Amino acid sequence: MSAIAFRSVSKTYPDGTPAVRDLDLTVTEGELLCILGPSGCGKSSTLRMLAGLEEISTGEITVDGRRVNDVPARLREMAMVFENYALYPHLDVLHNIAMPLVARHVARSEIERRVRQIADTLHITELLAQRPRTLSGGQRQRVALGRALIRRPRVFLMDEPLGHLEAYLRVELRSEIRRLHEERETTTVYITHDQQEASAISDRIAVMSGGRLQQVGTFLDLLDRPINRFVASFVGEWPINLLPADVVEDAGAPALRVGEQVLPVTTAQARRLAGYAGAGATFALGWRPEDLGIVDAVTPHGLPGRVLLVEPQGATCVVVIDTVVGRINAVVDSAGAPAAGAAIAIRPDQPRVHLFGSEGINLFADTEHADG
Amino acid sequence: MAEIRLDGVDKAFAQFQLFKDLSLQVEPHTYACLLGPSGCGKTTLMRLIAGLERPDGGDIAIAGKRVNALPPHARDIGLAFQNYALYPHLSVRQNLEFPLRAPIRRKQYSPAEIDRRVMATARRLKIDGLLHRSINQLSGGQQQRVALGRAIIRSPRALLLDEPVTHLDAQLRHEMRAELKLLHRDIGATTVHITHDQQEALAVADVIVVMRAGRIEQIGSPIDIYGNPETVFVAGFIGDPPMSLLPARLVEEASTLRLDIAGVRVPLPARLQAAARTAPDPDVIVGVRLNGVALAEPGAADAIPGTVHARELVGRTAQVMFRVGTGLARYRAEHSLAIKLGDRVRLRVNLDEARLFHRATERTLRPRENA
Repeated sequence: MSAIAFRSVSKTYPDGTPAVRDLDLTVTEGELLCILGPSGCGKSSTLRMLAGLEEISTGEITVDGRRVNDVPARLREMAMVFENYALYPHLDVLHNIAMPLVARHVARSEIERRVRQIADTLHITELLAQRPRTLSGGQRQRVALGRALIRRPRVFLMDEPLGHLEAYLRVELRSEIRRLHEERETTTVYITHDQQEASAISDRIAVMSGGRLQQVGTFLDLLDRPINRFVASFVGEWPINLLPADVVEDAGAPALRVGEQVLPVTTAQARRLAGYAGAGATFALGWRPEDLGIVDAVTPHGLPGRVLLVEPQGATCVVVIDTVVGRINAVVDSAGAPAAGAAIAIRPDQPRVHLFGSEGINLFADTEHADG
Repeated sequence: MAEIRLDGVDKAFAQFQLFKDLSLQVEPHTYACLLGPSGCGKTTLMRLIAGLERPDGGDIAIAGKRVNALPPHARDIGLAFQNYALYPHLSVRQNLEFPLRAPIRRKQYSPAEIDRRVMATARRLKIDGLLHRSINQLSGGQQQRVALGRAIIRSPRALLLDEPVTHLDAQLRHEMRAELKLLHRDIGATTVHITHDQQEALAVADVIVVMRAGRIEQIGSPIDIYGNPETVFVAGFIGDPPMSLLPARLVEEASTLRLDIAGVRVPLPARLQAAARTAPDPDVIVGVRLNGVALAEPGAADAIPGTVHARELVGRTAQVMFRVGTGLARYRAEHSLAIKLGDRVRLRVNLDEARLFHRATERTLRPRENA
C-alpha cells in the first residue's frame, strides 16, 4: 500500500521558475525514501509541498489515498526535521526534548518514559540535566534530533537533518536514524545531497535533477543499473570514470573501441549495440573505479596505462592512471597495488560497464543480469 | 626548500588556552596534512605559521630562521584559502599577478618576468585559456586553481593550504587532490594542508599530523596512522569505517594473558602478550577493523555474545553494528544477510591485527624495549 503518492505534481514559483516538473512518485507504508540530488534539483520544494508549506501548482498529493492539496500543514500529521534547530538555552536537555509533548499536553509519566527512551537511543542520557551551552556541537545536534524524533507522527519529513555536522558525527547519527526507523517503521521522506548518506539509511532512493525525477530504486539499482549519465555520476562511492568510446565491428560482433583498444562486450550488451557499428556515433563509457581490475600491461583486451599516483585509503587505495583517453581512477586492495610509474593495463568488470549515448541515456542500463 | 618548525608554542584566545608548549617539525619537501575535527586547533596552527596570528610564547622557524616577528609577506610562503579569497572584480591574470605587483614588492619583478611567471603558472594549473575571464565567470574548481596559482606564483619555499578541496563536489575533489599531489611532486615546496577529512589526508599526505583539542595526537605516514593508531581517538577517527573499539579486561590464566570481552575469555595472540604485560591495570580497549569481526560458527567455543544494534548499506555490501558489552563492533555483511534489530548473535573477534589500548589513558600498549 502506498502511504504517499505524488501524481503529476509540478511547482512553479510566481516569478515563473519551475522547481518541480510533473513528478510521479509513491512512498510505501513504513518505508524510508530518500530524495537525493544536488542543490536546486527540486527536492526541498517536493518535501515542502508534501508538508503543506508550499502550494502545489498542478497535480495532486495523496496520503493514505486522501488528497491533501488543500489540507493545512498542521492537520497533515507530519513532523518536519530540519537541518538547523535552535535549542531553548534556559531549559535543560530533558525539557528541550520533552517540549513537543508538553505542548501537546501528553501525560507527565508518558513524557518521562519517552524522553528516557529517546535519550538512551541517542546516547545522551547522562546529559539530561545539562543546559545546551555546556554541550558540544554534536551533542546539541543529538538533543535537537531527540526533540524532533520524540514525536509519533503519521509521517516524518527530514530535510538534511545531518547537513551541518562533521563527517564522523554524520556517520554515527545516520545509523541511529536508520535504527530508529527500523524500530518504528514510520513512513519517512528524507532529503539529502549526500549519496553515501542516502545509501546508508534508505530503503529506496529517488534521484532528482533539474526539477525532474530521474530514477527511483534501491541503492544497488542506482549503482549497477543507472538509467542515465546523471544518475551514474551522482551515485557511487567514488566518481565514475567517463571515457570517449565508439562502436566498431570485431570478428562479426559489435565491440567498443577506446583509444586504439577494442574491448569486448557481453552478449546482452552486444544486442544493444546492433546497428551502431561504424555509424559514427560517439558514446561515453562509464567505468566505476571499484569495478576495474589492474592487470599486466600485455593482457589482451586491457586498456594500457601508466600509474601516476597511488592514494592510500586504508584497506584500499585509489590508483590514478594516465591513459590515451585521459586519467582513470581505479580502487583496489592496498595489498598488491601497483607502484607509481608502473606500466599496467585496466580491465573492467564487463557486466558492470555503462554506455551513455548522446542524450545521456544508458544503453546498458538493464543488461547486467540479462547476459546470455 | 624549507623546514617548518614550531618549538614550545603557546597560544590563548581570551580565557581559552588552545596550545600549551606545542612543538612540530615538518621536514623540507614534505607534504604534511593537519587533520582533526573542528576546534582542534589546526587552522590556528596554520595561521601561526603564516604569520596571521602571533604566538604567546615559543618559536616558529621557517628554513631555520625564526619568523615570530616577521609579517606574513616576509615569510616566503604561499597561501591558499578554502574560500579562495580571490578578487572578484579582477581577471584571472590580474589575480595571479597580484602577489608580484603588490606595493611591498615594488620593482622586484620586471614586466617580462611577471608575464613569464603568469604563463608558466597558468599552464601548470591548466587555466591558461581563462586568463582574461573575470573570477565570477569561473566554476568552483577553476577558482580553486586560480587560488592555487596565486599561492605558488612567487615560487615560495612553503605552501599553506586551508581546506583546499572541501567545497568542491566529489568529482572535482578527487581530481584536485590528485592535482595537488602532482603539483607538490613538481615544485617540491614544503606543504601544510589542513583538512577535517581523513580520506583526503590519507590520499595526499606524506605525513599526517592528527590533532585534537589543541594537542597533537599522532604524527605518521598514512599507512602508519591507519595501521598503528597511537590513541583511541586516532583509531576511532581514521578509516572508513574507523576501528571498532571494544572495552575489555585482561585476565591471567595459567601464566598467559587472556582478554575478557563481554564476559567471554578469548586467547590473546602471542604478538600482544608482551604489550599487554605493560598495562598498569587490566582495563583495556581492543580495536579491530572490519576484517576482525565475524559471525561465529554454531557451537564454536569462545564466541562473544552481541545484539544487532544498527545496519546500513555501504557500496555493494552492508555493514551491521553489533552491541558487544558497552561497545559497538562493525561487521561487513552480505547485502542479503537476513538479520533484524535486536537479534542476538555470537561473534568471533579475530585479534591477529587488533590494537590494544589502556582504557584510562586511551594510549596504545606496546612492549617495553629490551623486554
